[in-house]
Amino acid sequence: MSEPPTPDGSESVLIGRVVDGDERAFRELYRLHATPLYRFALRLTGGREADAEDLVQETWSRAVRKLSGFEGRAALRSWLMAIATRAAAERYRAELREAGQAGGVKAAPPPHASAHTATSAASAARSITGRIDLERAFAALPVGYRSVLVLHDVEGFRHREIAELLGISIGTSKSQLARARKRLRDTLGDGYARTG
Amino acid sequence: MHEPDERVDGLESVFADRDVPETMEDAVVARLREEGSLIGKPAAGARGARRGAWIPRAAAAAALFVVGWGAGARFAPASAVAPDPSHVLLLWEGPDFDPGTGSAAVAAEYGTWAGEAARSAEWLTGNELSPRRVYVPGGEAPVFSGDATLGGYFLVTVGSDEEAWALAGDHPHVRRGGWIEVAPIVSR
Repeated sequence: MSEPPTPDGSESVLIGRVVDGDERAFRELYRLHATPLYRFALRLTGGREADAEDLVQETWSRAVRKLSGFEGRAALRSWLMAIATRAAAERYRAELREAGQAGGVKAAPPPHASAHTATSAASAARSITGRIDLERAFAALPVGYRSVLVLHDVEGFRHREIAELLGISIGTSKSQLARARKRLRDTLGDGYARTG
Repeated sequence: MHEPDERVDGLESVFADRDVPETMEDAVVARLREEGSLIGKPAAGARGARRGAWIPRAAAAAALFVVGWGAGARFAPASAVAPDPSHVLLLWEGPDFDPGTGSAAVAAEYGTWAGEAARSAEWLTGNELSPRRVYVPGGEAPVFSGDATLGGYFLVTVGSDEEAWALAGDHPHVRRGGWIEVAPIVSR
């Protein structure tokens, strides 16, 4: 992802206090990143709020344990997102193992996006209905596709970074991104807005 | 070739209107305190109470299954200076166990209980038990285990059976439909 700003002085001070176990400092730090981190977690989990809450908790748990080693070479928010991504990937692998042991994989929720015509879909893209359709289609993506899509198209990570985070090859990251975009477009209809 | 230059428009709006649940901050703080990462205010009236290492949400193995974490136990080691525990509280879960809407809610509940319990107990710790079980010999669960799952346990140091029973009675695990087996630890 493009080089994010490094933590400003006040955030660095907060980080130091959190390393020392200061709860008040942690609450300040938490509030600085709560909303973007939660929404990032929602995207990774396909909008499942309980799972997103768990992911945020897990992310902070891991982050605070590692915070003394945070060197500030990246923005704290990017660092948190990387931790969240790894945690989500671990969780997904655990789900696969459990599903395998249980004899099946839980089916993804069916997409409920309406079959727009080319014209109506394009206009709906900027409407509430269009957004809801997009969220449903997004949530119905396989988790691997969704993760790459979020990291690349929403958060601006590069394929090299995504590959490292998810433990996949750069080629896999690229192909999953292409498939994710195609799956979304297929679900939403050909007329759905796209940009280059 | 692998990456068509066609970005789907509007992705940044996905879930962008969702607000952070108000309870999340306290739930995160509770977890970090239980993990020993944050230093909270000492509990009023504590008798040298030591916060246990219980990761609250981990108690609900059923919740772990529901939310799919299943990541196994995560806890800090018990203090080397901990006194001998007097009782063990075994947290059982059956088919009627209610993991609620998610483990964040369970985390807040169990964290609150652990905090309160640490005020009255001389010492307390607890751990999640991983859902991965192997039964020796044979590998399979014996018939008598039925549908019950041992989701976690607490070790406490209290002055009497009655105090241990009282602690267990207040645990949210009971309200969620689980049950707690309280057993004195035999010291020879």
